[in-house]
Amino acid sequence: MTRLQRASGLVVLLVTLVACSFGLPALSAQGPATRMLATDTVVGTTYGYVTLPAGWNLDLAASAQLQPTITQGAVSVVVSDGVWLEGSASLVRHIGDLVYDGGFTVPDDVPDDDGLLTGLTDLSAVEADLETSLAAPERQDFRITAAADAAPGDPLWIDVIRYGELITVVVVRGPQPEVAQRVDAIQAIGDSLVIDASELGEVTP
Amino acid sequence: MKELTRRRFAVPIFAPGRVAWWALVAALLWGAAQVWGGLGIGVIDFPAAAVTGLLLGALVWLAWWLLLRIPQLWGRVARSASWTAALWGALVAAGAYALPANGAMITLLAQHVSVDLAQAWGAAIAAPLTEETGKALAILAVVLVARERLRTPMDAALLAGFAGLGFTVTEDILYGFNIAYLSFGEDPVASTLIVFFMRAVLFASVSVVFSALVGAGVGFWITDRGRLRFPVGLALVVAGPLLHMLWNSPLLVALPARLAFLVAVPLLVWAAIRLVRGAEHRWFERTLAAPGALGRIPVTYVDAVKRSWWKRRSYRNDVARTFGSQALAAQRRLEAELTDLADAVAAGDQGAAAQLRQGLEARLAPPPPGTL
Repeated sequence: MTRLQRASGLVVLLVTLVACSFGLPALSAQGPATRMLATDTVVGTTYGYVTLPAGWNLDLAASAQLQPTITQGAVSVVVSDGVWLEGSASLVRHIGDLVYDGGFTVPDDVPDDDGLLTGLTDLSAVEADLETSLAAPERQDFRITAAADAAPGDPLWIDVIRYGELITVVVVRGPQPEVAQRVDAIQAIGDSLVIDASELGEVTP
Repeated sequence: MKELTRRRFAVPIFAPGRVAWWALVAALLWGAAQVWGGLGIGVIDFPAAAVTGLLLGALVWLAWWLLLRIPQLWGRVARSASWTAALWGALVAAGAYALPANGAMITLLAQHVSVDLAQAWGAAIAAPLTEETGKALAILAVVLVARERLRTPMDAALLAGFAGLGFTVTEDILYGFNIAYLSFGEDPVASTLIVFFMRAVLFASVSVVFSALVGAGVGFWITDRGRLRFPVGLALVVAGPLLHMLWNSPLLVALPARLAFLVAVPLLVWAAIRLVRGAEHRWFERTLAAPGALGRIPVTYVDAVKRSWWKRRSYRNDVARTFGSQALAAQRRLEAELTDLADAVAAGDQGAAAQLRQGLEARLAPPPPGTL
């Protein structure tokens, strides 16, 4: 290779590396981070979709990655989803541990024997599960709330919505008075959830 | 072919006199920092997934490392070059190209087109562009530091394949963390096992295949002399990102479609290997046809070095039937030494070429007239 060829090769390496590491991120940072929703808008999650209320600001980067996120004033709502096979009591504890830096409380009446893997040794229970939980799972709702010793930035509450093994969480952050003014709109987001995991064989209105 | 003694693209561990070496070191360090930036939080949240991912990643690495030795029929890539390409893939392609650029491109789609399109097609549009570019540039990085030319399309395909191997291990570990988050940390070890089984076993690390196709295309452009080198090279270069796009697209969400894809890809790889083998054979014949390259070695021995594994096996069986099984080792040695000679001639390594030629002439050439 000639010196010119080697120099050209180095330039190609450096230009593409700088373009990918800095250029594209800088370009996306220059664009709008949010977009005001003019009307109620349906946005997808990994396993379904939710309707987000008009008048809120949609976080474009997070929503593009299947994590619909909206803000209004100092209030933010993040919708995320996932999968859980065990009982709901351990589910809410796990979510609390993952999300909260400080203390949190979970409801006392969350069942721990409603998991997909519960009672696998009992064939009649498995058969019943296949007919009900898997074929037409029922919606279960739980709420995790910040405790008195919650850390700054911890969510005020997290709504956990369970359809069989598919889980959606609605994480609410912000000052209590501002959140209180928007409770209905936030509640409507969770209510609007539609599971559409057709590749998993589940479509649940 | 284990009898080959020469190795291509030896990358020096320490070469401060070469600007390209400094660029490589800087890129690896930058890539490592970026990979840690992307994966570090997962390591902290799910240490069990991290350990499981590293162990399984090492197994995937070993399996592909051995698998990528098989195509090395017409030349061996130096171990240092394989490591450099694989580390480039694992750190630079993943950390400096894919991680920052993919998210940015998907956000750009959401900003300028729509969130729906970004959700459905973002990964299918962004990843093939950034990842295949990043992995293919391993070829350039190795060639620049080693200061050697590519000889055949297989050289480039192998270097890109090793980059794909490194990339896929980093990506699999990252996916292990993603699934751990997606399952709220229910069982990080089990979820990581499932990710590796799905991606590395069931779906056969398609990342290596995509990048090797791109590498073969680049290799065709640079090394082949045939009339069709540009269309063939272009087809292969485009095939990698196109297959990657299809793989990431919503078109393949359904399992039957994905399985059909997985049946089609090996056929494509088989066709690509046939093309590459043809180019390697042409390189071998062209190189040894140069004036003085063969010395007094009869050209008929060049014809005895067949194009592919299968043709060589068949020819060796004929040799064994005609001259006895002890001739097999001699045939293999002949194939290796002539290939080494071609490599030395192509590399301009005149000392090694002369030595190899002398050894072959002593065994194969008829004595000059008047010496009997």
